[in-house]
Amino acid sequence: MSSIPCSRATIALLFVAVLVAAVGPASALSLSSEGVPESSQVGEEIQVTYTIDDPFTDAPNEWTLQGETELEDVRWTVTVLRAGTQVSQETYTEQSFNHSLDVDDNGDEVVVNLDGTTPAIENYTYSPEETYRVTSLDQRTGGNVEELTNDSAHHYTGDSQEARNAIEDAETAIDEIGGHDEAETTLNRAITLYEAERFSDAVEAAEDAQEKAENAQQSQQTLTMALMGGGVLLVLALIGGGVYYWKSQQETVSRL
Amino acid sequence: MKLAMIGFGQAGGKIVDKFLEYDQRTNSGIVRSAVAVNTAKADLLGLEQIPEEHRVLIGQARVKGHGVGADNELGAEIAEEDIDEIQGAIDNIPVHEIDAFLVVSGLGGGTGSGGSPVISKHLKRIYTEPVYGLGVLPGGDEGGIYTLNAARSFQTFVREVDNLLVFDNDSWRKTGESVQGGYDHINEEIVRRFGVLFGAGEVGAGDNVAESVVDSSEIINTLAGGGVSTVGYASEDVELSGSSGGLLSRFKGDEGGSDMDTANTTNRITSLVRKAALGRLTLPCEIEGAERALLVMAGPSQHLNRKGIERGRKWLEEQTGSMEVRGGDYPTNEPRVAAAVLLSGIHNVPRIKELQQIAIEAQDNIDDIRQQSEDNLEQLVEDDEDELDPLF
Repeated sequence: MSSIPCSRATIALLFVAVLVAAVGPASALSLSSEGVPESSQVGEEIQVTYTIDDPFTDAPNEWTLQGETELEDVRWTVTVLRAGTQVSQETYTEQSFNHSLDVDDNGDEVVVNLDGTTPAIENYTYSPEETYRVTSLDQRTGGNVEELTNDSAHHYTGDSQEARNAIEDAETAIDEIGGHDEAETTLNRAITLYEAERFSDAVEAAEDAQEKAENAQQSQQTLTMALMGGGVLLVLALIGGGVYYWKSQQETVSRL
Repeated sequence: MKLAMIGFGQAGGKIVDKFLEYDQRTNSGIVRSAVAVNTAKADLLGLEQIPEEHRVLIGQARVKGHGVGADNELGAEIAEEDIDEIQGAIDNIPVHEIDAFLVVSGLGGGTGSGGSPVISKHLKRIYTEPVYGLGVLPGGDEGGIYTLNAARSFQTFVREVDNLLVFDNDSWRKTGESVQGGYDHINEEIVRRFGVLFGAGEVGAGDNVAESVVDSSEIINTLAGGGVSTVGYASEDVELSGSSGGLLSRFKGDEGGSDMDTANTTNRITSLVRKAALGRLTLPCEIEGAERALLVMAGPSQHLNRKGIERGRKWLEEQTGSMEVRGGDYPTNEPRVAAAVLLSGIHNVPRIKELQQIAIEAQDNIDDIRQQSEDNLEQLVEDDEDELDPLF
């Protein structure tokens, strides 16, 4: 009786496993990238290269490579190579492109070059830090879209980075003393100012917060030192008193 | 009584050093100034309390700081020659603040034995304050030369001071003591006795004032007739009522045994006076015939009563046959009652006679040997037939 539900569950699990195994190999294209930045300043030029080896192994004979970026003044160059020799090359200047690939073209390597400049920041956020999409590459087969890569990077301006650094320093200082209410309030104000794009004010507030934290740390240290000093004095006084008492007990002050 | 103490010789310096220590420890205020004089540098270096500038080394030209080697005639000579150096140290003493000088020395040695009569004579000539001597007699077993020194010095010292207080080492020797321990113990005894006696009239700021104060004039008058004096001392532990009774018994008002207490106190005092006068005197003697006496009863004031002191005094009058017996109390906050008896002008002292007898024998012996010495040496050096000639 009890074995029936159990076997049903086993069958369901097996079914799911088979499905996963069937879908798995579809995304087995090997893709490598070069020059993807972690962060870049607004207006900075970016050059990225993606290489797809054996674009038709474990893949359909015809598929479309879709690319998209938020970089500006874009220039995509898609080159198909066969044993290192160029077979075809195509250039796109839009932020997105579709490039059809066919096994009959005899290509065994696809190289995608992307040139562009870092876009301006629309919305400043301190945490998570503001990012833009460097590249997303998809493999589309009919109606099926498979993501190959999706890279994004943090972008900043000189002012925003300065403000961010100041805020990070203040955070470190506050962490070191294990939190300080007043400094944390000032730090939050600095973050709000940062997000409102008032960077010089934000730097000021962050420095203020850092100073408060450091002062607190200093006074904490002073207090600790004072307490230790007091303790040492107390111990010395106790020892001295003990010795004095002992000596006064040893010594007979008797006149008779 | 405020004293200027001059310790002459090794024993004198050590005793004065002990006096200073006692004075500082107990705050009794008896030593106004202290000077140590010696011919041996090492003895002066061994002192602890006497300030460096009050230590005088004399006779450097004669003995180079090595002492006189129990030659008290040389000691006296050197003291006389260098009296100005000693006077230089005494000049620092504020004499108007002191009641008397006390010259302390051992009588058996060289420097103190010879020098103390010299300095006493000098002080008496210059100052109007009385000059007392405190002489320590050597033990009988210390040797004939020391006994001879003591007997000769004693004669001179008594003549030169207003009164000579004598302490006999013989009656305080204990068996099995180390050399240092033995002398330390004796010096402690000396200092305690004379400390109580001289400290009685010195009342400090927080002290209890005596009912009948033993002022320095009482001591001076007792010692005034000159001669030789001895001090007796006896003490007994008592309980301080403040510490034993506590708050509770004070509230209870436990006064029931007060008659009993009075009787006890009186009996304790009279028995202590007897013990002090008949027992351990600093110089054992027959107290009958003592010309003057002074009784000081020290202890917590509730353990001192007038009746007891009066009875003690009366007993001393009967025993000495003298009508000049003074007495007083010395309240202290210590769990101990002590009686100190000063007997002045004593005559019947067998110990001195014995000392003189031994000294005479020693002197004869020394003379004999000296006379024979030349003959003996000649016998040894010269040949029988006188055949040999010296080189030149």
